[in-house]
Amino acid sequence: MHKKGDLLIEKQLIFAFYLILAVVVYFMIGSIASERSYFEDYFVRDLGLTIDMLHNSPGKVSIEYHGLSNFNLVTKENFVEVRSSKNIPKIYAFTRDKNYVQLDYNFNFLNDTLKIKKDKAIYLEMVKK
Amino acid sequence: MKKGESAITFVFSLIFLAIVITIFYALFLLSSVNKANFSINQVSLSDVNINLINYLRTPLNTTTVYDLMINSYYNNDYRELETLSENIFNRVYDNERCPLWNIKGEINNEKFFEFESKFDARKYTLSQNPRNFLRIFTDDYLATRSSSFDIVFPDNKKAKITLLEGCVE
Amino acid sequence: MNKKAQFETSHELIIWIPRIIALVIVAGIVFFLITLPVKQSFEIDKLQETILRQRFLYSENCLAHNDGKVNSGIIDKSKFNQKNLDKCFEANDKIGVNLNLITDKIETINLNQKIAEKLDFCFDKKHFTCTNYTYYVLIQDEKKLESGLLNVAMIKIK
Repeated sequence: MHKKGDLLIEKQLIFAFYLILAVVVYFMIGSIASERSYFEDYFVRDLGLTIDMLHNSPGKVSIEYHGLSNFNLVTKENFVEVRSSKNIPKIYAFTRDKNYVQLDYNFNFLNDTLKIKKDKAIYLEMVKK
Repeated sequence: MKKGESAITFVFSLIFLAIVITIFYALFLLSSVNKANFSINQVSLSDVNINLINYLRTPLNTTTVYDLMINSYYNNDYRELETLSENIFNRVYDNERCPLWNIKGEINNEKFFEFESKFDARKYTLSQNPRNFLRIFTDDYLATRSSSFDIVFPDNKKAKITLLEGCVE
Repeated sequence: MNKKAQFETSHELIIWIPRIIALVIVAGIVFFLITLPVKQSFEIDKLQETILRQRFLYSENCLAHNDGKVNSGIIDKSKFNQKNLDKCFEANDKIGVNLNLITDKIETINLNQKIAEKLDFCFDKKHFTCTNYTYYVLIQDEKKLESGLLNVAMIKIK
């Protein structure tokens, strides 16, 4: 026998399910959006492409990256690596011009600025705040 | 309404909701394809710049194409310029990868010459045949890029030379 | 013995099964739709190849002619050789380049030959990213300036 009370319980259960689903989705999106590894992935590719692009410039160029924090930047031979304590390092392999001095840097950023300069060669510099 | 009927309609309504969300998302995915390609096109503009600037400084005996262009304007005879432009750009833009090229000169937004490839656009538009609707899902489409250069004539008239290329991405 | 109540309970359970299945399907689709775009990484291979191929014409270490100022787009014929190009473009083990300089003859140079040989497999877009562009160039050969084409085909293993 289908009672009125059953219908009410059914509606409450479904409503509760949707509420739980919405809360779970909210926290999922929140955690993914704030995930640091996306920033590091984007940054290493941006930096790598910039280094590749600087080879094309005939004159002097200076580029600054601000607001970098809590990660380690390593450049060696022909790759750029960004890592933080908990994430897998992100790597971009740029194409080196052997006429230029090899990039060999190891920076630990704490809200510092990264300067990339190109004149007769390409240089990286960390500017502390 | 009977108990069995309400259960079935409930299930169908959920499935319908899932289908609606999926269709909405599929449309979203289709519409976002062009956004990813935008930045690649902008960087490729440098390639068109190279072609245009080399075209203008192409040596012709003792002069250049740039000088020929100016002479053509004052003599109102563009035949030699047209032949030369076709010889150059038909070599650069082969028919398969880059079927479209267009070069034009304008003074105060009025064209004083325009040459282009013999290009049939119908090959790259959606087929009129409704059974061929699947073409919308192919990767190939024609991306156009253009580059402009300002030149100054001896009587201080400023002309804008524009090269447009269309390549299959 | 409460047969009628037992019948009612089992009947209720049977009705709930399709509902639960439908709810699980909807929940699964919602999670799938949320995680699908987030997990996709943005591809920059074509952008990278476009920037790299421009190096040949813009950099004086590669092919750009320098007569006091760097003339991008004008090729110094003496720079079009394997040794110079290998030095200015140290391709990593995933990128191969095929350069063809076309005048009245065709001169070909491959950078990272092993990968460049795979250019015929560019139809396999799942494993390779390829770009191919032909530049209209001017070639400075000692005192002579002539026109030609430089075709740059690049392949990268994904």
